[in-house]
Amino acid sequence: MTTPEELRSTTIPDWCPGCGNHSILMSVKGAIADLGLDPKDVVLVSGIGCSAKTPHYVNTYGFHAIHGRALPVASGIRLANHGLTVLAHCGDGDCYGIGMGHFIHAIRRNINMTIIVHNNQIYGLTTGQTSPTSDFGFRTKSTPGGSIEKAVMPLILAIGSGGTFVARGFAGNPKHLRGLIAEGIKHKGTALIDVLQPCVTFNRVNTFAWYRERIYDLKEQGHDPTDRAKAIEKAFEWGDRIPIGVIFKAERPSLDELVPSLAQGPLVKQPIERDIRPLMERFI
Amino acid sequence: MDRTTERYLLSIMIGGEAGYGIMTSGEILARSFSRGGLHVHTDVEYPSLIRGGHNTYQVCASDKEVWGLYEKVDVLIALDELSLREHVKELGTQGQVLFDLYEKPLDPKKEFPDLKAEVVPIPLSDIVKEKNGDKIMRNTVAIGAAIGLVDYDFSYLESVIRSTFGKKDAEVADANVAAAKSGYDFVIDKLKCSVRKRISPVMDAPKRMLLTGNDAIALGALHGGLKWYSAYPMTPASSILHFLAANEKNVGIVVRQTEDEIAAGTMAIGASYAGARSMVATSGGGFCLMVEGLGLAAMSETPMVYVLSQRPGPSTGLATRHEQGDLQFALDASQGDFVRVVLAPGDTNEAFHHTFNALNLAEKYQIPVIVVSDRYLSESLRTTVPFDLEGMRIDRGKLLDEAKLLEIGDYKRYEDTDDGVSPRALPGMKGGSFDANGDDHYESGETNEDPDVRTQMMDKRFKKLRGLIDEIPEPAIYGPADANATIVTWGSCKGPCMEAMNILLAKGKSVNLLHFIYLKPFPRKSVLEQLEKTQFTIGVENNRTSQLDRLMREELKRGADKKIRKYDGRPFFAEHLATQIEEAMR
Repeated sequence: MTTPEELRSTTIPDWCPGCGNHSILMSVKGAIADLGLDPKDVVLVSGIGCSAKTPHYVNTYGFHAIHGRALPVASGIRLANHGLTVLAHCGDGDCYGIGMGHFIHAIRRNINMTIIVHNNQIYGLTTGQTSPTSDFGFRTKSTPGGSIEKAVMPLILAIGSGGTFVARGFAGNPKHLRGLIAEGIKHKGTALIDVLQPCVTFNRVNTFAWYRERIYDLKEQGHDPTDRAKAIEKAFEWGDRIPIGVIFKAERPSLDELVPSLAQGPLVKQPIERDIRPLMERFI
Repeated sequence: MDRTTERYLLSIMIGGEAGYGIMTSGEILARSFSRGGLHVHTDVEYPSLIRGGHNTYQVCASDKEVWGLYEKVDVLIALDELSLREHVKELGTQGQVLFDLYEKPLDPKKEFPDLKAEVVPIPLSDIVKEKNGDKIMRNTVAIGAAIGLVDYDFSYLESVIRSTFGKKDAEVADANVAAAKSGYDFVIDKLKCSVRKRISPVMDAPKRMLLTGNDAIALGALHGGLKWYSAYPMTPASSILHFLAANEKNVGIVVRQTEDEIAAGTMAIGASYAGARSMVATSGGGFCLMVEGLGLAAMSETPMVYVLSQRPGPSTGLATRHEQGDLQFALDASQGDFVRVVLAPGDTNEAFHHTFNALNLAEKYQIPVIVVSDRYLSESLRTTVPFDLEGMRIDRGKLLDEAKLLEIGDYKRYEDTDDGVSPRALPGMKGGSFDANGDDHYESGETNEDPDVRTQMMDKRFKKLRGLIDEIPEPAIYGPADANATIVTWGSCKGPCMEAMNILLAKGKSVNLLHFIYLKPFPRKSVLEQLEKTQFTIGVENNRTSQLDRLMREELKRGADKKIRKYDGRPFFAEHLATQIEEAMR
């Protein structure tokens, strides 16, 4: 049995004190422990940004990749060895900005992995510029007059792209988030968990208090995540009230189940030697 | 008999509108000669269009090895008027052109007053109509007629048509054989054409494969244990994707077409990190997008093989044409300094063996390896005896297993070892957990920006060079060892240069050929030794700025004495290259 303690790595997190990432880290370790996963079979993949440091703080396998590319790297890992549990940790810039193309395609592919987006609506590591999820009018170093672009709606995009598990969590509610991540890992397909993660240094608008005033738990409201029309309505809801929990859930085969050569077991476990003479024969 | 090289050499070109099966017809013709024991070399020219453009397919067949193409054509199959007008000038004085004068009546003497070649009128459309065939069958009638013109054994054509169409539909095969036969009979019985250039099967020839460079690259990779292939379609690399996708299930490989080349490259890196031998292929434009991943592979020390099949740039350039303009790009692509291998096979046999080797080098040294091909090598068919698999062994280098990890105890993924290569654990192995990292890092994989650590880890990664320099093959010398002049070239230019050298040797010139496959790390010592032996060097490259020559000047402080460059989007033709080299030698 794995405990969250055993999952702690020797590297000490260097996030700002009070940063929402600490609670996401705690929730992820909790979820891995709750599911009894063997740390050797878990891989955390990240892009670039504050969120991307997460793999270093968890004592599993990890891949700290490059900006925006966590999802293709994670996809390659999972398809090459579908015995592994793969979690991708991205930021909002990572996943919805530079990596937006990969995000849409990852969702439609439905590879069995979990995407955790540390969404703080700001570029933190680069010291505070606007993000794709920054609200209209949001003032940053790059938008001193306020953002004049509309924020993207990742949950709507995910539902529209054939997502099978679309959820939102809040870093201020780690207990709820831990359960959500565990549910996402168990889901057979790509699970998207967009986590509202206040940046205590560069985002003075979307603070813990700001979110606490607005969020409500969908489960408590009796929301049925299999109802697509209701899910779309909830996914659009942003402003005075912000829903958290599983917004949409659907069933369809994951890509891992559809790739023909994976039926015989994980790709990396299949023999590496092969006889190519019959293939050569075809050219004669 | 071709007096300069003492062999029979026949060159047939089929030309017509794109979308009408020119490529299939050309390939059928090529395979018919190959099955008859002849050496075959082909090339195809097509614009970036699906229909309406002008396509040609050229087939050279000979009783001896053919290394490159000739511009001179013996038989031209002109399926439309444009093909006639465009290519009639390429016909030799003894040449013949098959053209449907019944459908398109014109007076050849008036239209082409200087034409020495014979125009053979053939009612392609009428024959097809008689047979109730599709318009596309005009090609089949025409290739049957061409086989008649050169007095070749029809049974080879028949067997190739049957194996090409028979898989899909026996009736289609029968109809095509009948169409080809009527073309053949028309030439022999009705026209009673004189045979100007005959080509005969070679009995007791060894069985040969007829395949493209891309086929050879795919086969070499499969033999080398390839498990993962991801790509975004791009000419001239796409046929690797097609071949591997068609065989995905029976060879046990995952093939994914991705949203872009960034994803193709980084997915492959993920798969490789998980333990699957991984390769991607693209052309220059796609390679641009893969370059950020190239640096990630280098920094995270993840084995990767990149196939860069060049076409003329910059930008879209000439999307379906040929050039060797990306050598310098491949040598230095990406920010930062790191160890990589750049290699450029010269022919299908080399494409097979060195793609296999690329997978070994990538895993053994945990580095990116770039296999540089080009439109000409990737897409032209060439005969070769089945690849010799003797002595080819997959070498996984310092790949660990759980027992070894248990012995190690405190495992460090990026351990600073004597040869710079660190033992590699894979996710799923007990006792091996680590973070692969695109940020620079210390031995455990943790991000580290200490100046001493940075210096140590850069040096650690560069230690790999020593082993690599000892291991990579040296450039080959073809022709007499003590020649006065040496042709220096790389990659697919080997073919035209071999052919040109043979022409010049037959004329009594003292010339040999130095051909580079491995370009980075640069095989400095052996090249210097070779250059000491020669009095005069001639660099031959399919690019504007003599990119190999620039590399030689950087590495050796000397380049070629004369340079021959071609950057018109087409490969060199042997006869013209021989003339250019001869002029340069004066």
